[in-house]
Amino acid sequence: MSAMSNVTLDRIRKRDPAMLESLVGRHQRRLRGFIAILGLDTAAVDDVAQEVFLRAFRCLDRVEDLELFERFLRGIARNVVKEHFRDRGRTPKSLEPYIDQLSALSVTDTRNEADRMTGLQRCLEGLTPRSRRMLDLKYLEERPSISIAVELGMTHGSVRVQLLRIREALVRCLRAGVALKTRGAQP
Amino acid sequence: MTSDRKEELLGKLLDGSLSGDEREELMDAAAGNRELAEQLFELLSLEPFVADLLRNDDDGTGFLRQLRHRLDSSSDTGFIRRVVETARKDAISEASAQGVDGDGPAMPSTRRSRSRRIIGRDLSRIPSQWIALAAAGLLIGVLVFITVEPSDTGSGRGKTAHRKRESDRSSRDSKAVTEDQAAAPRDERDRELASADADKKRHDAEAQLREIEGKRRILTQAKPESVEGPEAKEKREKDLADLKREKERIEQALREAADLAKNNDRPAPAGPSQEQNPSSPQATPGVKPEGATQAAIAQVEEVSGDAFLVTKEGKTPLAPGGNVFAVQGLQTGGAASRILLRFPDKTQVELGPQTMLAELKTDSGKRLSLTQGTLRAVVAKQPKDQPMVITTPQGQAKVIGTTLRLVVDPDPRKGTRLDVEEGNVELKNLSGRTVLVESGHFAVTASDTELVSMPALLFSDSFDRGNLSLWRIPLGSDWHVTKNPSGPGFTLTGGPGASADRWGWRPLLCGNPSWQDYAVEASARFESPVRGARLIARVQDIDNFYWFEYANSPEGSHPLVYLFRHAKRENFLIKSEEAAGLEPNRWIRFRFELIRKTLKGSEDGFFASGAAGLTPRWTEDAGWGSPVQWKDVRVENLSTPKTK
Repeated sequence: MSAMSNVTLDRIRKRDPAMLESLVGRHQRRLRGFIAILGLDTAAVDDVAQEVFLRAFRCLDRVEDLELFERFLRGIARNVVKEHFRDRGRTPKSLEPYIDQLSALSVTDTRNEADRMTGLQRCLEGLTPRSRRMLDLKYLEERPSISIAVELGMTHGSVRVQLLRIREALVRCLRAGVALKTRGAQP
Repeated sequence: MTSDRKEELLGKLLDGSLSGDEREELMDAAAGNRELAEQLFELLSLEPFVADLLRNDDDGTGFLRQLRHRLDSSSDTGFIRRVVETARKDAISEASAQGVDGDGPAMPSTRRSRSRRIIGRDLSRIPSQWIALAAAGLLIGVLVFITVEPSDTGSGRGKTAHRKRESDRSSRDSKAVTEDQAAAPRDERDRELASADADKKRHDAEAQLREIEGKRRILTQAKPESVEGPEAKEKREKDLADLKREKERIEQALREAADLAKNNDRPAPAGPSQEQNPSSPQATPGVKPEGATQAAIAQVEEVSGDAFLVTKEGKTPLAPGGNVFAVQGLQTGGAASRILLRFPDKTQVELGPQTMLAELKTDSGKRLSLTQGTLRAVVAKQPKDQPMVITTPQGQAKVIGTTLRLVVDPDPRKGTRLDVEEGNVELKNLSGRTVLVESGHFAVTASDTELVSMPALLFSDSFDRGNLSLWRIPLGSDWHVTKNPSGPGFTLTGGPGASADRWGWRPLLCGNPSWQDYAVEASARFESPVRGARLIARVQDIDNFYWFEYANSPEGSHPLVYLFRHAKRENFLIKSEEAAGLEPNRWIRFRFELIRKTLKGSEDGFFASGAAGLTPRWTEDAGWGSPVQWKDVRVENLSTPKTK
């Protein structure tokens, strides 16, 4: 570990607010995404992610390597999600095996969050006005898809499919952007 | 899995409308298909980025602010903070870190060694911590109860609204919040923060209770006399007795605190961690010595869904034919869960979903302790001096012989509702006041609610009179009651008539403008797959009311329910969702509940009161002439008695 990392780690262990905020900023979106893959409803993801950070902050002394902080968070997240299901009377048996498997399948995304946001912003700008309108209705106005269907004169099912395809297009666009950047960096 | 199916499931997953079975199907497929799993991961991990970008929160400050407030709130509010911190200082913070136990690959866990240190402490120190914890839990609960009002917290929309408010809010130094400020009236944001804080602390304390339960297990493991001398044995038993008493106290305190802190939207656990720590019966007094012969109090007649027998050893699945003994408890799980019990005198008790019957015993009559959920009892005539008594957190019902239903809401403001179908039941609240609830009436025991008996049913008509004498029939409509050609009874058909335009609502109406909180329900049958039926409520006049529709989608492919506000000839969609079970020529029963601003689980405060009614659905091809048959209309009174 570099001297710089040691200093950072020391400040984190001392609960330096600026360092903790920076840590949250670096990891929160990827953590939220990871929690979603563990089977949580979208409405509960943010609450659980905050609980994960709170628990992580209580045992920062155990953090020995910041490079492994994301794995550390994910370990906590898996347990918080299991508790979440148990508290709500869901049968843990039905989902916990998947949590383990999917957690093992998922690969830590080491891309910089800011780069990802910039790339995604560009991809969003490339959407058709109708697709953008659908996303705004979904995320900004938080309208259910049936309401979007009424608004846009579509069927409920086709709104779902369309929103899925828009997201798939964003994933492809993001991948292409990253690939382009990687290629550009090669000699 | 076909690509169409995959697309459908992924669409629903991202839409948040995936059912439990569908989720399992998708997760199952993903677990066996790396490509699908990675696709899932990519799509879901993209969600926070897209959401934050579209909400103009690209720097992530919304999440950070929420987190900061949750962090701050654990060190705020003077006195309570000091009590909590004293209690938590060396025990709870460690217990609450259990989430990393066994995980965090590169992080050597120190929790186990710490836990050993806690377990190794003198037991006499523990009760003082518990008492402090209980005090903290209660104080927080009371504070939250005073300051939290039912709101949209808990729903996704509510949380986002909260996040938006938080985003707009200037940074606040929570350490500046003093004890005096905590006592002063708070604004909505502070109430939400207090609620989150109480939740967190309750969670932490529950974790501590689980740990203490572990200690109890260690103490209850009997040792051979050769190993354990009589003095040690005596001390162990004394420790156990102390432990049991203190645990009872803290469980009760935490249960009350948790109940007080609970908000309307959130499904709440019944007491502290009953799922993981189903130990209520063992904590109750009067447990017979092990090995003593006990007579069965009741027999399990039927079971469906998730049903458990709760004993001091833990929770075991329940099967029909099993016996229930004194101080054992029963618990049911999700929506389809149910337990039917039969007592030797043929009294029947049915437990509905999400119900916790903490204990059954006989002590001058049958004694049941219902802590959460729904209980319906058909009680055989009991000896006069040995009534059946059902105790709830808010009161008790004394039954000589009758049919009744009790619903215990986790929210103490909603409390316990008793509905008497036949006979009389005496209901007593915590302050000792009693009321006699007669057949067809109900009463509620809840904090700050007057204990009075009220009629349970505002209106009912099965149309067996063969006429519409109970209804108001609008001019120009063609409502009529006809005898069933194929069997006994009558049904209602008709409506505004095919000639009326889409604004020509002429619903059949009952009730009066003072009706506020009620549920209107009816059975309807359609001949065509694209027809539907509407219940209307809080009717101000013919152009202002709510309507709730059960219909197939325009293409007839799947059933939907809609909830609209109809105001001045404009329809405003409040809610819509997919439904199940709508088929032509089959009776369906549907129900529209309105309690204050909550309409079928959604919020709208436009119309506060008004009459109820029904109408067919308007369609392009048939206008109002879509044939619908109706029967068994009921309007149930959901009013809460006046606040004291």
